[in-house]
Amino acid sequence: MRENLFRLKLRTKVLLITTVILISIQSFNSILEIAFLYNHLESNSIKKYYYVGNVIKQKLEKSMAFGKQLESLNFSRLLKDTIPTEVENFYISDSDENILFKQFEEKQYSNSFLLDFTTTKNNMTYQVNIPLHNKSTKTIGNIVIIISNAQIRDRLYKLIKEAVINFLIMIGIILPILYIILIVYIDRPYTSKIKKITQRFRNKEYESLDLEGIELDNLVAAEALIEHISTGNWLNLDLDKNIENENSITALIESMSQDEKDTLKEIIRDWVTIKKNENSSKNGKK
Amino acid sequence: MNNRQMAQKFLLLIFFFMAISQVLYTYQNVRMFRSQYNVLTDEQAKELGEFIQKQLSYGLKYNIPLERLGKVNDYLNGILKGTPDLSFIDIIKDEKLVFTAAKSRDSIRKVEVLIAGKDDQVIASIQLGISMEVDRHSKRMLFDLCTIVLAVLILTYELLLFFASRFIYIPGKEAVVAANTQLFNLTPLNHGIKSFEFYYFLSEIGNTVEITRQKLFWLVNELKKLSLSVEKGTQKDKIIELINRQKKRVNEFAVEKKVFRPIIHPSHARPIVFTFILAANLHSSFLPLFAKDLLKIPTFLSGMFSETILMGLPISAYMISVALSMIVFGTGSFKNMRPFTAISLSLLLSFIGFIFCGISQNIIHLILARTICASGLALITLHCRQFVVDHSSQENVTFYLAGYTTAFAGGMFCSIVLGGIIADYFNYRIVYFFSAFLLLFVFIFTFSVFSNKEVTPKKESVTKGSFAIYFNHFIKDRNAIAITLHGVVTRMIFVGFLYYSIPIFLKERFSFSDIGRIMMLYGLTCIFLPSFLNRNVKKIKQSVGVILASNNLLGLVLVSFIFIKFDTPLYMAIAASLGTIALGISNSVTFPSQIKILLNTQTVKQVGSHTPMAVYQSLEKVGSALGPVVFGALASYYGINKAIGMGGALYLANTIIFYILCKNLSDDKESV
Repeated sequence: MRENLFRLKLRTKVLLITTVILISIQSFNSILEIAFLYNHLESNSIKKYYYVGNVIKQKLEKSMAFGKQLESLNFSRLLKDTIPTEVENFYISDSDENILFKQFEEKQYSNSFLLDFTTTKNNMTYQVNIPLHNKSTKTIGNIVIIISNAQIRDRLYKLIKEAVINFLIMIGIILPILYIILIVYIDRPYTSKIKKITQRFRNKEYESLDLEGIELDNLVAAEALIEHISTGNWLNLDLDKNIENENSITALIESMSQDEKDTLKEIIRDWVTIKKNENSSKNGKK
Repeated sequence: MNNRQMAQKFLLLIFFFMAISQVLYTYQNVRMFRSQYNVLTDEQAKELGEFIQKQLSYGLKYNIPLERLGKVNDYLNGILKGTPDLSFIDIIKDEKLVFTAAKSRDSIRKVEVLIAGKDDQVIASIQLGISMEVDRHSKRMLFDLCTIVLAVLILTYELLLFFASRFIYIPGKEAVVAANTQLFNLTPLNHGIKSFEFYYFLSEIGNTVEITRQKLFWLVNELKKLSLSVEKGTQKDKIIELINRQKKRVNEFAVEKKVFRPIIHPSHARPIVFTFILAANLHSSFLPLFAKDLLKIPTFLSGMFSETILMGLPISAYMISVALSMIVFGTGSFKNMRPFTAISLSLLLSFIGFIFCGISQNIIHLILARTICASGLALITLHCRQFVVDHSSQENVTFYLAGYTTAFAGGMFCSIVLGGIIADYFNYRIVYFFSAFLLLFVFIFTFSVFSNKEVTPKKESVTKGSFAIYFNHFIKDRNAIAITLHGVVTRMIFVGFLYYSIPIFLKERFSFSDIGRIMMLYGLTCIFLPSFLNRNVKKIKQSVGVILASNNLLGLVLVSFIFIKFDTPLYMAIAASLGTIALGISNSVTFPSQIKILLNTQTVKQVGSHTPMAVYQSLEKVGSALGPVVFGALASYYGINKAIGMGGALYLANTIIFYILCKNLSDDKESV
């Protein structure tokens, strides 16, 4: 019985596997989807700054169209009421990262200004970089818009929270339903089938067990031999020629002399009596 | 006992529920995020409208009529140019269109911003049309999400297959085998079978056979006593002989003739291959970009080669290392290693390689790291394939190798989908660390399958003799040469067509994402079809037959690229799709059958399968490396369409040569 404790029931195995797989795979899927959608929404949230940045870019590049240098532009006049008010800061730099204009003087920013159309981010802010080109399309400077990610993140985190709650609700609904279905359609039929097989074995319904792949030939042959020997049939001089391996014994007995056959008869008589008595006492004990 | 049916029921039920739940969850997410996406788009359009309104108000402040403001159309065109989400911007006054800029008049909805005059009365409105591109973007997002769901379902299926087999099907089958061993040997020993449900059944059998065994012992004793009593009397040799013969009959039942062996199923290598390939290829969507980033730190290679070549060096070094490692591990002192030791070593090498990739600071580091990863890949693929071969029967080896192909393709497919997302959300280096983390799961599967002491290289597979002895047999074996040549050309056409030619063929008219979606058809074909197509391929002649049929199909499809005029993107997409599907079908049946044929060659029968398979797989990699080179050379002279066609012709020629050399192959009665 103690050994049972170390064996997991099929039901336990099935429910454990189901739980592990469902939760791990669904969590993985959930994380991937949320990450994928978060990225899309995040880049969408920043898009408007690209639009505004492009308008400013066009304005500045137009001003430089007639040979004016970037450093000599009056940014305060040109960019009046153009820069979005909610940005953390707004810079214009030349190609050597020298700051030519800063919206908010008191705020410092130490990251590099990338001369590509790109967005970078750190823990607190996004940085939108829009390069400025002259007439010959050479990059001569950079527009850098710094946006606090607090507002964007708050918005997105609400969605993530809702996605996580949906995930937990889904797990909470699916798991019990799946448990019930697995117990009804897997565990119970399997367990009951094995019980039936065990019962059939006890009842010696060997033919039906053969269909289940249980090979009983050897056991049946052993039991037949035990029966054959213990009932003394093997000593019977009128031998049943259908019994296996009897041919050599038949030949042996037929080669015996009459004295030997008489002695054999005595042995048969004694053996059969003793064995019959012993068998009945064994059956009685059963 | 139909354990298989029960395991299948378990797998299908859980898979069905997982699929339903993932689809519902994805739908819910898409709905939620899409509405937020639309809200954001509308808000941005509105803010842009307000921005325009502010700019216009400078003029209106000075009582200039709206219609007389100068260069407004140019201004609006400039804004529209930099705003892909808008299709038009109209300024409407008194229901008349005053100013406009339009890319197209199609829009999914409009956003309106009012323009107020000097006395704050509404004098006009700005209407911004949200472009159809926003909707198309949403649909592309949905398609990409479906790809994620598909990748996760493939991962789910591989895991469920393993668990259903390992914890339901195999224990049930082992319990039946243990029962039959008990019944055959007439011993109560249940061989440590851990099935709770079978415990009582095995105990019942144990009790019964114990009683029978005791009866047999008792009989032997009684016969001994009888024999002694006869001996005490007159000499009765023949009677004693009679008694002894009965004793012998009884004793024969008491001898244990059957040995119980735990069942080792060849499909248990699948999750190891799947998870390892998933981990090993997560970076494949961005490796050249990562290499480009690392090139910013100059090294001694910087002046020697162009940037384009340097970006490709980690990939080339990797492929060369895989080929060489396969030869080393297949022929040297590693050749007869226990699978558990070999795979654990490969995981250790790969782990070190991935960590090194993640922390690499320049291109040299990355190349060295990739070389270490390559040796891990070589070792694990050699031993997993060998495991499948060792534990399949002659009839079933093609079917189980098809399963191996499916797992490999599944890992590749999922890695491309998942790697891109992880890289987008985090960064390139995190992907390598995540790959290293995934190896932990590979090790868990490896421990579960290979730590069993019964899992050792099969005696017939173990290499006998040195590489020179193998080579001596190989060059005299026509079939071995034919199948090796066929394998090299197959890989050459595969890589050359799929990874080189298709992107070039489609790049003029399609985006990279669309090209990737078409190429994905190959992965999907190789995931869903191999087991189905190889189910009935049991004999060598059938293997030869399916290779011929599928290769001819692919060859003809590729040759048709020369003759068909691809006037429209639709025809190009159809041609590329059919080509990749034909390639997938061909490879699904060809790869497993090639190994089956290799295993039936005289070389393998003489020296064992380990070294020939290692050399074969190594030469396959050489073929893979040659693919882009050959197709590139052909394309530079004849153009890409003709290059594909000539590749198809080469493939047909290869098939004919294979048929001529191997047509007399048949199953040997003494199987490997």
